[in-house]
Amino acid sequence: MKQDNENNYGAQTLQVVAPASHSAEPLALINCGEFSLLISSKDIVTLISAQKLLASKTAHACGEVEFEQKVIPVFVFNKALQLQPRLPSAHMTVVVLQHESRLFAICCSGLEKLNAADLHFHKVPLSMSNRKQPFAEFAIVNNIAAGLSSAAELWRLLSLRKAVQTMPLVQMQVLIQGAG
Amino acid sequence: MTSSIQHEVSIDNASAPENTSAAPELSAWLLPISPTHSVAVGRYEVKYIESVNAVVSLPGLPAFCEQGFMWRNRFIPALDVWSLLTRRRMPSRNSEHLAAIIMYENVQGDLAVGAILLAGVPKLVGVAVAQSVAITELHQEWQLLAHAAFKDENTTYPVLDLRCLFDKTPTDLLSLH
Repeated sequence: MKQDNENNYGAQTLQVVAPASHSAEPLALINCGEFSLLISSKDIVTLISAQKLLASKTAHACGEVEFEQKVIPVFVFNKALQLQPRLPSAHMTVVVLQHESRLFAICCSGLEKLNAADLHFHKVPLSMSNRKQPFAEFAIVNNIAAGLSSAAELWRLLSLRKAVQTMPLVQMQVLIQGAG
Repeated sequence: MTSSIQHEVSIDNASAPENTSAAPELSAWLLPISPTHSVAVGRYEVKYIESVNAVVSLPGLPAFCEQGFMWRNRFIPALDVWSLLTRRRMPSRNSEHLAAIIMYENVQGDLAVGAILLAGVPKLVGVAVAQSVAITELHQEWQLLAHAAFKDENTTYPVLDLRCLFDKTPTDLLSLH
């Protein structure tokens, strides 16, 4: 087989990137305005209307929402994946996500449920990769690239943006609850 | 997401310039990256010229490398070389782009595909050895992106180092400047 690969050097390297195996969990296509993300539905705790957004007490978040007596910071990213202090007018949906024992939320303009099996995923080429991107693969949905992300990857991005230090109360409450 | 193939350039010799001199001659494609600037790429590194009508962008990237498009069921990353040098986007009159699809050998020794966004129709020119010039004669910003240079009709063209352009992360590429 190795010999075959070597003999078919050109043909091997020109093959279409095979879609990676993904879990059977449905994916949520989160429309963030200038870009989209695909997140496993199991990472999503609940959806809340942006009309219930409270003013933020921190610089990184664009607001806060109350959910099960917890105050959850809400973040919004621009196309450069920088945190925005103000909510774009079209962003009407707050998506509450859970990473381990932490809750946080991102705001988006729309959300659609998709089946991973219906999507073809591409690896992010090296010349288009950035360590801040919360995804390593993406699918093209409605002529827009949608990065295959997760609550863990978004948490990592928030950490890189130094935004996780701004939610000690939420972390403490959840951790105390989890310890019990 | 690409329209019909405009020009297959890897095999066809019909458009090659006539070699009238006895001296061995190479060929290069002159790729317009702005209304006023062109760069050169080795003749056999350019595989196709395509009219692309549906580019997609990935978030978190500088403008010069944020776009790509589907071509023959694979995603092709596209570079806007003019934007890389000037930090300004290539002016676009409509949603359609002309792109040169190139092939290069990456650091693992595999063939990889990329595209360079074009501001006009490329031109195939013959290049004699005597036309080559030192890379140091290029503007400084070109020197790290080119692996050769030549002069044609009083214009000096950088010959792009495609591996240098495509086989790096945007951060690494920008750190060269």
